[in-house]
Amino acid sequence: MFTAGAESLIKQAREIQDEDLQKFYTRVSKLLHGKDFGNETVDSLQRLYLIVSATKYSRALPEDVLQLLQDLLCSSKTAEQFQALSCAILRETFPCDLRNLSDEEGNSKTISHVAEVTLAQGSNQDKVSSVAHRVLKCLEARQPEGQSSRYLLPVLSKVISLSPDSLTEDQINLVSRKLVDWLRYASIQQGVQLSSGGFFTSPRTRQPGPITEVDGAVAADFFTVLSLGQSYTEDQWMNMHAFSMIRKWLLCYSTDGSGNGDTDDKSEVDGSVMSMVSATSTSSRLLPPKERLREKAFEYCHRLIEQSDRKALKKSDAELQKACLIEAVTVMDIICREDPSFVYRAFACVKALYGRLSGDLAFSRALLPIAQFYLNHSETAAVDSEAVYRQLFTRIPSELFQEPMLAFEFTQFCRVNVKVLRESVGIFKHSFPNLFKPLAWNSPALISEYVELLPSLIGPDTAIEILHSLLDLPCLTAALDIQLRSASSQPSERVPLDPSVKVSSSMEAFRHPYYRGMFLYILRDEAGTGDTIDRLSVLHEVLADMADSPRIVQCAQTTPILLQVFFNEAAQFADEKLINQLVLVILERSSLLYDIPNYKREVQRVFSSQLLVLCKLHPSLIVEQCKELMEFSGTTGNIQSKENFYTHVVWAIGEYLSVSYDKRCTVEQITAFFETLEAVLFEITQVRLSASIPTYSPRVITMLLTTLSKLASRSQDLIPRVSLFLSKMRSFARSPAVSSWYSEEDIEEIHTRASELINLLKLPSVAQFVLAPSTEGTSPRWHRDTNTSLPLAMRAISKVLQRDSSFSPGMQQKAGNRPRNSVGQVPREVTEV
Amino acid sequence: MMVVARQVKSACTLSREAAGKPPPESCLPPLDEVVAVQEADCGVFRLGAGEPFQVEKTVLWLGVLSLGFSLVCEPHENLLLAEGTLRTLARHCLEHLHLLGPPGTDVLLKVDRTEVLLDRLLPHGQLLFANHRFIHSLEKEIAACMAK
Repeated sequence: MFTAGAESLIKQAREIQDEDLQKFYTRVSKLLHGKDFGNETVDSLQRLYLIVSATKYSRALPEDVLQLLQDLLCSSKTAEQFQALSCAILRETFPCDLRNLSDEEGNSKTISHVAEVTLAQGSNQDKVSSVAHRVLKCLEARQPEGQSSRYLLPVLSKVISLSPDSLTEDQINLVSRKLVDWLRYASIQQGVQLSSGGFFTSPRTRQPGPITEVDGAVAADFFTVLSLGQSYTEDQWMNMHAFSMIRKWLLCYSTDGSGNGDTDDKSEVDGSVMSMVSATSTSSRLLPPKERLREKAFEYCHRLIEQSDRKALKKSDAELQKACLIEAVTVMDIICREDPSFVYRAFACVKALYGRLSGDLAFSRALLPIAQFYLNHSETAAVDSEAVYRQLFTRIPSELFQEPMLAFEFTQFCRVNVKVLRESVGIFKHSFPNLFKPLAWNSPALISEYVELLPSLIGPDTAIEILHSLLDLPCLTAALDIQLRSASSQPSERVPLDPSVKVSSSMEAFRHPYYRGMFLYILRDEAGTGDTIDRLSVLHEVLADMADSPRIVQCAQTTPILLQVFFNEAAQFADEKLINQLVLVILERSSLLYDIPNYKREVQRVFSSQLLVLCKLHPSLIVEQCKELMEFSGTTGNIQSKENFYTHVVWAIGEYLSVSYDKRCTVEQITAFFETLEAVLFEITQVRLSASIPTYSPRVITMLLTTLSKLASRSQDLIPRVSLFLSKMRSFARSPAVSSWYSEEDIEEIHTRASELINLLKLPSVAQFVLAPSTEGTSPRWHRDTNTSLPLAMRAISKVLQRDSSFSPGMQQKAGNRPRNSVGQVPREVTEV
Repeated sequence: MMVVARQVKSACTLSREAAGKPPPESCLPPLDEVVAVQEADCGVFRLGAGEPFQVEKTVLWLGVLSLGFSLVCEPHENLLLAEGTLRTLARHCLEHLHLLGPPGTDVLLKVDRTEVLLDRLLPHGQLLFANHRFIHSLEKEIAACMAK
């Protein structure tokens, strides 16, 4: 709607020529000199703002314009509109020295504006301190009639977040005392409404009535942010502002934090000697200001929690009640962290609150700070927290996964507390099926959180199930979607179907007894009922009608990232048994995936690279899993459906099936693999004249050739067979039918590879050296010892490989330049033959 | 700011896509600001340290038709309150800047109005625990400023 016009406006502002700019400045200056500020002045100032803010760098305004703007800002007689404009403009300009305002009249609104400009121009410690000083001086002094201190507290809040050290100990105590007054002792009578005049105002000024609660009842105790009145007095405004910043204040000047408070560590209180006698309000007058503030803030929070039980008449107040609950529990948590003597009192309150809220899903967001409180303090108070965590990890993710804010806060809670949760909360480790639900629903928003969270969930006993769950994350999305739609459908549409009915959609399948168990498994709350289900392919099929739904596609796009994270983590602690299990899962699931466009390809890509990582960690797995690997590599259909992955498997076999990696490797095993792969290669290179033959990429063929050669070099009886095959391959490559399938380059590739291998295998010991190098190849000895030095060896081999070849010199060059990464570890070297 | 705006835009687009909503250009704008804000898409994400702010931040966003409003908060601020504040701010922006009507380019120039709104509802970036009576007083002050 706005972009075209707005963009051109911004462009104009950025590209304004110097000459025009100067003319504009002069005009502004003239207008500001005049007394009457009309529409033209407003318009010019608005344009000036756009000019200074449209560029990334700050513009420097001419001196007189700056001066005029500062005058405008600092004068208390300026209209709000012009103050706002000059404040905005000065904020965006190159830092300038604002005149010191200490001698000027102390209009709080002006101070607020000036502070805004000062603080925006960099948090120079001196400037911030001077702002703080000015604000506090104004707060201490009595405000003249018609002005309010309420504009000053937000400034103070900003100051302490920029630079907590800018307040001295005395100033902190002063503010603490004032905060106590505002929080606890604000008036409970309504403010006098400014009379709007009028013909029928009664001669008696109306007496302001008492403050009420949000449900209309008369205020039961002291004033809080949940107290209503027709209009508010000054101290009631300060009460609201004070509470709005109390959390920040307490965090900033906590005694165990970075504030300049007491250094004695009072927080080491043994649980068994917990003080049951807490400070009462009468004796609190004797406490130092910070401690007194804590006490009063605690009372305030307690009152808020009670007030939140009332039924608000207005929806916005109901929302505020929830926000107040969250804030109150959080502030109590902070207070208890600083002073554990509050824990006992706090728990009485928080426990009661939990009891009130636990059944109500509408208050679920308040459950998080409560859980945090339990996490921080339940040990100190020896309170049982099992029920809270159970509610948190079972109900919230499974019933409220679609609430974006709650899902985010829940994930943050898990992420921030993951160490403690993993160690002391039993239910956490096994609730990952539930924890994945918010992610499955809203992957783009939560993926970066889960990338951080996931590693901590993976353990030796949960790894396999997690892997399966991750692979089926898009299925989970689909199932959640169906569950939601089913819940909101007509009751008649939720009746279970007769088992004999054939289902025609995923929605129907949800109600069909045959599929129901599968859905229930996918939607389970806790781990431990099995790594996966048998009829997974059936489930994938029945969910096919949802495979192009945007939410599922988004989930499918984020899953490969999580898989990568999973494997990175698992590789760090996996023992041999687990690695074997992982490889089996990889082999099995490489074709057992929900059919979403691109999903299979991306997952297979991750599998390919991770298979190699696992092989490197535990090379013996090839021998240990030889049965499954043989089955996998012997199935020609696998080449079609997952060519890239298949190629990697074959490479791994060639690389690691050897005695040097596992003493248990037998000649029979090598021969068995050889025959399997030979059969496959034979099948895919049959020259059939039918047009419906699928074309396999030359890479598969060369990979199979190389692997066969590698196996042969280890069991030298196989060498004649391989050589025969290789020469057949050479003629295969030259046959006319094949030239129609592959490009010239591809054919050359196959031919070259076959030729090189033939040459290599003519010298079995050289072949062994190249194709099955010992694992010591990376040791320095190979490079330093002149007898076994690698360069010498490489040169010799190059000569061998290029001998006897039927190449033309051009191709020889080409052959020489291409690195052969899959032929052992020996890169090619161009030689002078 | 551009970095944040870009991320908000993609977050909003993805969220709408997932929910199966039609693209905003094809919708008729609602006549009421209150309804517009109630029906707006909303979401939240985290910005890590260095991306682009020095410290970690949480970004709350609201997508009203083709307009995005975002609020950058500290990590441990009260998100529920921030959400309420953002909605209130958005509603007032829509109202006072006439954003639901026929498009005009001068919305960029009305910085004084935006400043007044921000100054009252989010002074110096401070979230306020304001019940409906406090909001009412603030709205009266805003109206008084805008009238001039």
